Amino acid sequence: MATEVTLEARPRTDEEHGTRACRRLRRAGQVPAVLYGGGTEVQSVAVEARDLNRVLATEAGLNVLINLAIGADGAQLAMARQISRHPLRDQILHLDFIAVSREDRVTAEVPLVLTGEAHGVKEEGGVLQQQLNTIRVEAPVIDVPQSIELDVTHLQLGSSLHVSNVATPAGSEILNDPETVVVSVVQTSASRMLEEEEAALAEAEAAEGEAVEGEGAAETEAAGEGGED
Amino acid sequence: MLMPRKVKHRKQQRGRLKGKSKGHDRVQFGDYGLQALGPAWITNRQIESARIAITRHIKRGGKVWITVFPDKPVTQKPAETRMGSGKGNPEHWVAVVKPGRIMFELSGVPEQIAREAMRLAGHKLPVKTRFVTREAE
Repeated sequence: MATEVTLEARPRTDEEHGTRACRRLRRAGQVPAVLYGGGTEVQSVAVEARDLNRVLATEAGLNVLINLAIGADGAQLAMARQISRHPLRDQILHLDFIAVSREDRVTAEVPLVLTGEAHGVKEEGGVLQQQLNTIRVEAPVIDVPQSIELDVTHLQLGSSLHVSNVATPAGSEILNDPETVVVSVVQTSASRMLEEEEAALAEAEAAEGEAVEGEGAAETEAAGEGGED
Repeated sequence: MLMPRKVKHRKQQRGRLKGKSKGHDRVQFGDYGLQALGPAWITNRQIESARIAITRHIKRGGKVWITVFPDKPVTQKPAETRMGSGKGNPEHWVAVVKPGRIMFELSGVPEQIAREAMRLAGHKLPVKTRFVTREAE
């Protein structure tokens, strides 16, 4: 069952549109947002940044079901999408809410959680590389999985698991290509680079050694010639 | 060292380092990242130096991603040359980095080691940096 929380929003007036008005809103601790979808009219709203951060920090993450209370108009069930954040500050600049109803099915990105320690890491010195961190699923609005688990215990060096190996949660459908690699155990690039550096160093030392030997031989030859004279 | 294999034009205008990074301001490949807090031109020598600092610190574990590429040629006139007679010769390559850009990513090592590796790498770069981790989304 999806986590459901309530968030208060207020409709934005005509003067509260555009860059400068949105900057003023952000300075006042609010986040400009827009609500659309589900047959409703597009509506510009503003929400309190502090409340929004609290809502998005639940276990459900971004797939939390939000009961959006817009002014006196009543509540609208929605989900957060398209969150734009400041590149440096941990601040939400804008977000989209999609209006949903309890009977709908939605597409959501669900975090993939790896369990167990891979054989290739534990015994063969490889490193676990996770290529896909979220799985795109289609699920009922009220039953979007919080996370999907994948056991990697038997994964060996050089082998990988694909989307087809991920267990589909009940009532959901996975939308990713089944051939997409999710996780693999690979030889580390760092160890490869270090090996290359060591090989180069050994080569340089060998070349130096040969040069010294060559000089030594030349000296012996010269001494031999001197002795004859 | 990193540099383009071939380029359309040998010399470029300098441009301006204005604004924030347009993309790659979140960790996308690994678990940890090194984020630039200011604007800078990062030369291919500095990138290589930072990469070596990271790989030496993490020893054999982990995987490193370099997420900037020095594709901008920088020209210089020879020393004690009179002004004029055209633009100088391409001397080195730089990556244009703006605030927020993730420059290196790392995975497969404990956070403490990653943090130290990124600190060492940060000291090789001409810009203030900070250690960032992948967001749980």
